[in-house]
Amino acid sequence: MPPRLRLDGITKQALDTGRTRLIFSGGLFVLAFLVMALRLVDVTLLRQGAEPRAATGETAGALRMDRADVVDRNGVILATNLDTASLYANPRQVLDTAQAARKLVTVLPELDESELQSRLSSNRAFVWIKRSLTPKQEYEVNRLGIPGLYFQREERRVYPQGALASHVVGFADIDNKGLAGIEAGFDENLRDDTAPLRLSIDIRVQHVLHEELSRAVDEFHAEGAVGVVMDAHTGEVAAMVSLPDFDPNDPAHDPAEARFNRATLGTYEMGSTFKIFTTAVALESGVASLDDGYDASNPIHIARYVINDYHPQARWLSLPEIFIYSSNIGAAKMALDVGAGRQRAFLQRLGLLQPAHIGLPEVGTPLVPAPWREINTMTIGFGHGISVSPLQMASAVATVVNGGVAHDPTLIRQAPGTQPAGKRVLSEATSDALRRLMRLNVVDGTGKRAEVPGYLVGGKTGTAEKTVAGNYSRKAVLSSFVAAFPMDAPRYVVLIMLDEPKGTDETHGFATAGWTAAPVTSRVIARMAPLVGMTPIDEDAPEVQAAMFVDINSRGRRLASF
Amino acid sequence: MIRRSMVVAVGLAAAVGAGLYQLKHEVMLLEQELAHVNRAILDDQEAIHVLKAEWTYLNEPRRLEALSKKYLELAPLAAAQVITIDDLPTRLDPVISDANNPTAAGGATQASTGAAR
Repeated sequence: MPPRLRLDGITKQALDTGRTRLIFSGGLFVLAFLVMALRLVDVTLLRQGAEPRAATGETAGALRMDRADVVDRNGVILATNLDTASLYANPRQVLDTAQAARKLVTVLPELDESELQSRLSSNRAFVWIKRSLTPKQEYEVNRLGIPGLYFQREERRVYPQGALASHVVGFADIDNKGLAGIEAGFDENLRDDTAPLRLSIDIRVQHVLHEELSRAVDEFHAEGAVGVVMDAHTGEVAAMVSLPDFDPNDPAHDPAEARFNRATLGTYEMGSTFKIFTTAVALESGVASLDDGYDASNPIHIARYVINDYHPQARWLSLPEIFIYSSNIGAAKMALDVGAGRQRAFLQRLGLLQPAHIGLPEVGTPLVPAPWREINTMTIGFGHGISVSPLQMASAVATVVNGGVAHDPTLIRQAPGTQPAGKRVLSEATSDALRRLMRLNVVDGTGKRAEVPGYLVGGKTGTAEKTVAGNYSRKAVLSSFVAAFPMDAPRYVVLIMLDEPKGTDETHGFATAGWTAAPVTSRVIARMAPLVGMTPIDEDAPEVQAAMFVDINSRGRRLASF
Repeated sequence: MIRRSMVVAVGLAAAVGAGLYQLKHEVMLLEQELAHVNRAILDDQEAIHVLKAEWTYLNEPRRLEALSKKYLELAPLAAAQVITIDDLPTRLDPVISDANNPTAAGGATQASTGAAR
């Protein structure tokens, strides 16, 4: 009989320890499995909604180009980015450089063979051969099968309208960096945004303006021309042309002077169109009323200058007569009555003494006399001795005719139906008087050739002599016409300026604004008014007659010819 | 007993595995298809972009004007060509109220109200 085994002492102790450890670790495992089981129940049975019902896959998203489009106010593309292939080579992989160069020239004849060969022989790993190939060229290069040539997908800025809006839109360089116009002024917006930048330009009006100006430049052999069409109530520029212009698809092709924006960067002595402002400030400050007048029988001699009239009447002239005969003597005397301080403050409020805020990099700073002497006051009264840009001029006239509220000119479309806040510069009454005077000038004054039946055009001529070698020249003139229509409630301001027009047989040799710029204005308005949906007005209707009536109040004899 | 449940468990595991594989395969195919469709959408968007530019180029006002001069006898609209609807004559001459022919009278009234609107 085996002795009953008794475990005692050290052995028993060891067994006990082992069992405790076993129970302990077993308990841990049970616990862990329990947690897992609970979690499994939780995940499979209890958790609701945590698992999405539909899996989300990647989506195509919108096409993203390096630069947003520029479109006109109706969404017509003015500038867009297109994908092109650019050809580059890794010269280390090109086996036979002479043969490669010879083959490439057959497909890309504009490249120089020897220069190409030297580039292909260089020790670098990357040389451009030609940027922006057409799809056909790309196919032909591929067909040559030269090793070591590769294509890089690139974007290229394209201007489908060509030169039509070149000075407004400007252009971007080959690396899509804006260099001029809107492209430079809104460079960051165009890089960051995907939505197209919508301009206030209406491409149809732009075309009308461009075509009529080009025709006038040809007809009068002018050096250049400027046209601005502006919404009188919002300051939106509907069309802006500066001739000569350039093709933004290849800006380097045209001479540098073609890239000069005369409408915003150029500043000019505008001449008699400034009489609009002289008359306005005289009426506004109460210095004169429409019944008053000035003696214009004798030229004014001041310092070494003589102020003379181009259409001399040599008698006392009423305010309306000064306006329609464009009397420099009368305007100078009127300006003198207003005084330098008031004149200056008024022109300042019209925005004529500081650069325009238009959002383009090409903005000219007006040339303003300092100090502003008495003689400056007189000459500025008829638009000499101060240089402003045509855009500033159009904007100031818009302020005068729209009821007296100034708005910053803008090239960006404003939301339709909204009236941007402006600042009041002159009273409704003065604005109304000026509208009547401008209308009278077209019915009965120097601006008769600007008339368009049905659209109640009003305007003022300006023929400024250009300074040639420090002296005013009678031969080289800037002929301008600034108009608004319809004059009972103006919607648009049109400014036309021709640089050095030459008289023709048809104009009896005259190069003055009434013979050159006024007819262009007439044609532009006649063509654009139906495009912008304007209903013609019956000029003979009594209420229109009443709204446009001016008592000329002449003390001289009425000219039968008018 | 144990063997039976074992067979069931192994069978279930195999079925689930096969099902899962099948599902995964289908999802992979769908994903490929999705990527393909996305690429096609982008290609189409790019094509639309290019076509829009070409459309604008072909609609350039100067070109349209040249074409219009060549093929159409259209000229800029003169103010005299625009009249209001009030200026339009009524389509029918005013008809003297005729008891025997009420439709003609009715037609005339309709035309005149239409013109007055």
